[in-house]
Amino acid sequence: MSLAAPTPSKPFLAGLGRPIGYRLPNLLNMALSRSGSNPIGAISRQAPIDLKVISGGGGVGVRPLNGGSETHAEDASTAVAPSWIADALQQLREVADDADDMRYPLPTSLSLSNAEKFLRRLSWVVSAGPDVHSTPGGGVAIDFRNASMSAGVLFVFESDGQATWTLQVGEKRSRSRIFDGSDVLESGGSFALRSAGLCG
Amino acid sequence: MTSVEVGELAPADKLGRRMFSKSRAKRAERTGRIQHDLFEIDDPHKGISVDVLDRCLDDQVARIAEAAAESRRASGFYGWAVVTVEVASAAGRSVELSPQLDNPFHADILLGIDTAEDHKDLVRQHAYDLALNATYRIWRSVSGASEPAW
Repeated sequence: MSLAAPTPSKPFLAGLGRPIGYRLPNLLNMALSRSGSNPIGAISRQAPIDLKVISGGGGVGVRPLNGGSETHAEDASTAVAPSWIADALQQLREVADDADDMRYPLPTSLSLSNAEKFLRRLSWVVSAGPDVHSTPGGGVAIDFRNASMSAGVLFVFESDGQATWTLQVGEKRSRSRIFDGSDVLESGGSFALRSAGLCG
Repeated sequence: MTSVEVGELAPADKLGRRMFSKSRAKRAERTGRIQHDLFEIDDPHKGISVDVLDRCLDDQVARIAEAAAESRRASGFYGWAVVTVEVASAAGRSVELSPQLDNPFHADILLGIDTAEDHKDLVRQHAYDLALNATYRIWRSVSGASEPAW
């Protein structure tokens, strides 16, 4: 799959080249694919937030709390899910508690849903896990960092379904707001992750 | 409160953003990460309120912070996210000493934002920049001791 150049709704690029013409690694291409051919297939991207995450044996499985059957990543692929996905999903499940503690509005179901889908899509292409927490506007923040490059990418899934990504690489900065939060990766998010050295 | 002269700020001086959330403080202690929203403010024309550190013992500033925690009904005061003046002054920001009657160590990090359509996103970018460069300085009032987390 070839990916068109990201077209963020409100691009602001400072000190970074325009995200045009870059090539994506296979895994990232697959994660971006909406055809279902990506290795995440074994873990439903449409799964509800109310999931029980289990891990063990190098793979990550997700079991619906309503008693549905458990699935494992290795059932459909030889690739092994990174260990961070279980922890990230757990943080996502606790984000309402975090909001309560911070006296923020509770995250909306839309922000939670967008954040969960995003995490699942990324789980195979980013090796280091994020920090997931609530935001003052009732959104969900997913923060990937790369200390070796003094870099990080902050994704915020807003309460109204929009999203932003904020990239920092040393003193270089870039950001964008996307009106459809489910399109973050296609709208420059993948560029941001690559720029921060977080994926191939 | 006795009068304290903070004096001029040097690039290496430390500024501390107070942390009033126990769970976030625990997370910072465990991971070394500071979340961006600690530095995110509603009004970009107001500064980010910080304490000038290391001009006296931490417990003197912490007492002020603990009183503030009580007045805002926070669960407590758990330390600071610390950045240098150099970092706080980068990317168009500036630092201004703004001593108050109850806190002679008070300063503001000014974002230098004019009215802009996306000021919310710009504030977030500044907040993320500060958070990426911040370290956590723990404060435990029980022991009365103050020490860096690492």
